[in-house]
Amino acid sequence: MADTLVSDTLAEYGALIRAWLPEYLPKGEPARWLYDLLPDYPNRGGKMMRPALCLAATRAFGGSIDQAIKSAVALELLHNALLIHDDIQDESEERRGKPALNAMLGVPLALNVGDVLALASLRPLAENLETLGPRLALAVYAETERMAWESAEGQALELGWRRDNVETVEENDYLVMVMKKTCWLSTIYPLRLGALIATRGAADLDALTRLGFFLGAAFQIQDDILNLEPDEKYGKEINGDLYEGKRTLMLIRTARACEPEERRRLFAFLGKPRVQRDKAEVAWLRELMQRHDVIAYARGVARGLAGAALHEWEIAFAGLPDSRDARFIAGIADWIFRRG
Amino acid sequence: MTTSGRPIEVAVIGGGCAAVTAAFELTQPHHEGRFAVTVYQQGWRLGGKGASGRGKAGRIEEHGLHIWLGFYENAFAMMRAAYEELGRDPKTHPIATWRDAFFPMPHVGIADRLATGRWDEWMAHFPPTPGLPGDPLRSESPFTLASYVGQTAALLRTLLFDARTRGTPDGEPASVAALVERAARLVAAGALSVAAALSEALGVLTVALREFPAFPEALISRLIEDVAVAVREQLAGVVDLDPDVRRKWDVIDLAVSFLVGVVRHRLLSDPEGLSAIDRYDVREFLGANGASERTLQSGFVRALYDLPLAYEDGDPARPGLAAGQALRGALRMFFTYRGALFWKMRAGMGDIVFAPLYEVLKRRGVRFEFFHRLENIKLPQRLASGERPYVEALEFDVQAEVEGEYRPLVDVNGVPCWPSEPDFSQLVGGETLKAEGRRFESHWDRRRARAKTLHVTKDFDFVVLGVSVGAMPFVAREILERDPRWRAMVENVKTVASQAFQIWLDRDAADLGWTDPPIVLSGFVKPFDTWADMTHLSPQESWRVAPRHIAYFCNVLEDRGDPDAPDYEAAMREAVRENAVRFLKRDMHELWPKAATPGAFRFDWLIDPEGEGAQGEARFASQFWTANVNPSDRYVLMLPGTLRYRISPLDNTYDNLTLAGDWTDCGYNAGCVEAAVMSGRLAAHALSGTPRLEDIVGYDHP
Amino acid sequence: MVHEGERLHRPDPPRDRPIRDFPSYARNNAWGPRDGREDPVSQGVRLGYSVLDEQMREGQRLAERLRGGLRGQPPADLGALIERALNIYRDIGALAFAATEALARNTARAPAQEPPPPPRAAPGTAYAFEVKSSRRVGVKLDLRPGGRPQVGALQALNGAPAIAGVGFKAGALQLEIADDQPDGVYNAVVVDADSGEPLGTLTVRIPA
Repeated sequence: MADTLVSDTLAEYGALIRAWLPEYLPKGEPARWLYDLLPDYPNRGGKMMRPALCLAATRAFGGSIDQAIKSAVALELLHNALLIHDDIQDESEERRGKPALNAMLGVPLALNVGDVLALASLRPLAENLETLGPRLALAVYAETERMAWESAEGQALELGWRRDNVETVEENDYLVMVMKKTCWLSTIYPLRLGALIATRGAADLDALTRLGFFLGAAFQIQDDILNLEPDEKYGKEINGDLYEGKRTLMLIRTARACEPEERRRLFAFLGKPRVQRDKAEVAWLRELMQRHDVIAYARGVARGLAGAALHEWEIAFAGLPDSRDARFIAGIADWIFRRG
Repeated sequence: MTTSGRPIEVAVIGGGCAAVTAAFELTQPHHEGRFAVTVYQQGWRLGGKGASGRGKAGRIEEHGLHIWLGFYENAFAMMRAAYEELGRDPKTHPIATWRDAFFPMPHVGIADRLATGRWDEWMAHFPPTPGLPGDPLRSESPFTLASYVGQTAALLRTLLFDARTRGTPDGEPASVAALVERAARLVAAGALSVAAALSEALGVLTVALREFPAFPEALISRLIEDVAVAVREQLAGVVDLDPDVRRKWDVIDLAVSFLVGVVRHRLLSDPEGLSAIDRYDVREFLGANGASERTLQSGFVRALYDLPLAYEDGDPARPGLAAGQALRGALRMFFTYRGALFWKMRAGMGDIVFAPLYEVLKRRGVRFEFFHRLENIKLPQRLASGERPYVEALEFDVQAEVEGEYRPLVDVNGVPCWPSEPDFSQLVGGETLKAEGRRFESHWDRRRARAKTLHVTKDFDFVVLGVSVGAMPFVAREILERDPRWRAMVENVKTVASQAFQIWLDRDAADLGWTDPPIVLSGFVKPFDTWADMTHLSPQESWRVAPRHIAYFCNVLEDRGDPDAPDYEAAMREAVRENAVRFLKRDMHELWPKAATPGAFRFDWLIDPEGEGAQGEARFASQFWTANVNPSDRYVLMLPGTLRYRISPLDNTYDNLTLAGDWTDCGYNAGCVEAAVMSGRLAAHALSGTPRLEDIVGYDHP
Repeated sequence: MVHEGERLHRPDPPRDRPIRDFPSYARNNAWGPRDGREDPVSQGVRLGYSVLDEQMREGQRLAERLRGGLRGQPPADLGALIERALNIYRDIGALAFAATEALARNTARAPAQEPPPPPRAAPGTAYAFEVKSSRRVGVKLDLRPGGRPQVGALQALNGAPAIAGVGFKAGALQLEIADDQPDGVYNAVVVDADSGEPLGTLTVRIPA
């Protein structure tokens, strides 16, 4: 039933977006240090879940692809820009099976490329003026601005916790951060945008916020789980999050569950600069997490959130006719766990 | 108990409603004497703003008009318990049970100014509801906004449609899903311009709200919006000048505006409930949600402001009432009253409430120190690291020394009462004090017999601060200096002075030209927009010839002049007298056409307790009037944007101090008896853990 | 009264504020029977809703802050009202849509703002609506772009007198409705003044 629905839809919309992207990634000089680098991340073969959610939501709410395509492209460009910045902030070495851009070029150039990709996302939004009319284009812009602020706030939270080695981060703090940093860009904004565009503002967007939150949170937690227990398709370094000292749900749970002595050691580890976090310590941390069964816990939470997502999906799509796109969105809740 | 096994000493400062409630709670039998309470009260009587006295001819002399509302669950419960505990003998005592003390008043009046300029009084009769206030409540039905909205929808349905279309929707659907489907169908159909559709929508709404939150909020919001549009369309067509029809539509307009506001501000799921809109003024809020200007100026809305004196600085041109609290009050008042909407007291509030409470507390062993005025709350100079601030000492002025223990009550017609003057014969040097003209309740009379300081641990362990917020700048100087939250509270939780007068006449209502039942009327013209027929008090007083009509008038009093001027009090009192006389001459003919004509009033119908007395206008001097300008007598306002500065009795910043009063953050942030009692109960909870918060009715409330 | 040393401290109350939203509180605090160990799935859902509710509250404030800064956007409900009043649907051409925009902008009294770029259609295809009526009426204009529109009197099906005060003049659709015009639905076909070919329809609804 939903076996291939999700992957087929992702492939279809993904191809569409890929066809549109070059429109907004011009050629020019300097090529080696800027223009040739622009398509690098976008071409690395992401799943295109975010723009697909946007297009699917548009159709499910009764709109057409061409109303939303530009906003979806803008979204994908912005996402890639933030990926580049993320890799810099996390000092990552690998992204989607190849070296991270900052590892390839050094931070300064990579930063510039990221900035330009963000800049590039503005053009398709501006073109909405003609396609959607000024009022709706302005509304799309307002949504984008909102999402950008939320993402920045979430990023600030996460980075701040790391920088100051904050010990008092609880599970609800984690969810707040995830909502802002991950969910807004990845799931909430695309869904809201689709409904907004299709109904010209008449739809109740809050229902999509709720749906988006649960989808995105489940997605992120599953992502974090995969980092520790990957399958073969996984494209980032295993245990990379531990090296980064990322405050995942599992780490937070570990900090709460372990003995005071272990806790001290854990936060001492987190307090070190990344280069000093050695393999032995990471192995110890990994074993600690295993001992306290936090991965199983996180799996349960992710499942629960996905279930809540489906519940919210029922509510958000209650009055709408059945459609492949609506079912695709519901299917994401399960696909999260199968995608790898 | 403390470690040494002695009781915990609690100093309760102030003798108003909240303070006395705290004392009542802390000395409940189940505490088994764990708390030893001493009440410190300035002057000679308990009651604070609710104090009343007995003057010439035993006439009751009040601060103003005290009406109890049928939803005052906490206040009534306490009074019923107190009367029960007192166990007065009905055969010998005129006011033995609580039903003797309080009686229901189902008629309410709103004064409306018609287009012709004449005043029209609208009488409403609110049917009695089952049960009595203070009856135990079922604990598994918490107050929810969804339930109120549902009741409002039901009310709208009743007002809009006659009996034919009333009643439950045909075949009430069995499941939430079916209900959702019906609602979705109604919403998809678009405008509810057909009466049947509107009626059905209201019916579905009522049922849906019972199922909230299982029923999606978004769909409820859409339904409400469509209902609002449909109703407003009908309203636009109402051009009827008939006052009764017009009033019905005022109510409908207000109800619809309330619903629209709930939707717009997503109040159904806001964790702060109605408090989320406290930054708006209620007229502003209703107007922003579609209420017409005419409705906003109607008698209803005026009375909404008049009854709680909602005028900043007492200036009639500056009404201000926080929307959240105003709506909370209206919802509690109309939807949760028990017995009757209003309840009157059969004698003065001091006699009905504070004398019995005093007697009960004395029996329980509470000590009372009258003539003690708090001067300063002393904080420690230095605190140890991590130590919370606390009250180190309490500095009092002892206004007068008492021979032995002061016995404050007098007997009037078999009822223990508080007198209007202290009993100088019980005071040391009483003759001199009387000759000196001591005014023990006046903020401006600072004379004292001596100073007295109480020290923590030695003389008290905990403090319940029950003086009103108006007095804070004078008694809590040290706290205010150091604590920005308290400063913000004092700055924002503003108060107003009030004025009142009472007249006794030798004609009855019909002679005066009032042919309707005795009522309380509000929304009338300033400065005395609230009027009550209090003739039922006549048997309690001791007139040679009983008055045939007693009327009370009250209102806000604008701040004028310099409060530091030496004759301020006297000047304000004189201003009230002038206001009263002018009012009687100029405006009273509207309500009493036989007692007055424009420009003239039958002053000769006023009864002088001391005999013949003066004639004409000067006869008024024999009546009673008051300017309530003492800082602790000032009535507390609920101005928009200020309620968040209130501090709760549960606040534990000073770890041996709690607050009590209707000015605190007590869950029902309005100036009234119920708020004061709730606050006193919260103060008791803060010190002792009981009563449980769940048992303070209305504390947990949207 | 002499007592020994230790100063007493008030206990910290477990709860220090009222519960104003009972349904959420009940949901978040597992109202009802609660056993010691909650499974992760329920815990996740409970935690998720609790965070979500609070975030949506916060988010509303952020959104209001952002929305406040965007000029030229009429408030959402006003826009919806206008849309509803004019009954404009998605399938109508850019022509009528631009007319709506002009109306919406005028009504919202937006401060000085650049007019939008004209839609890429034949010149002179933006129409203003000039309606003279003492009552609220619904006007629906369903028009193909291009041509020079001309319209005759609006007819009713129920025998009511026609509305004659209607016409396209100088880039505006003018409509005048007498106070005693009976309520009901009135229609007219809009034709091209030159070719006589139909361009669309005009519908006026006067509610009862």
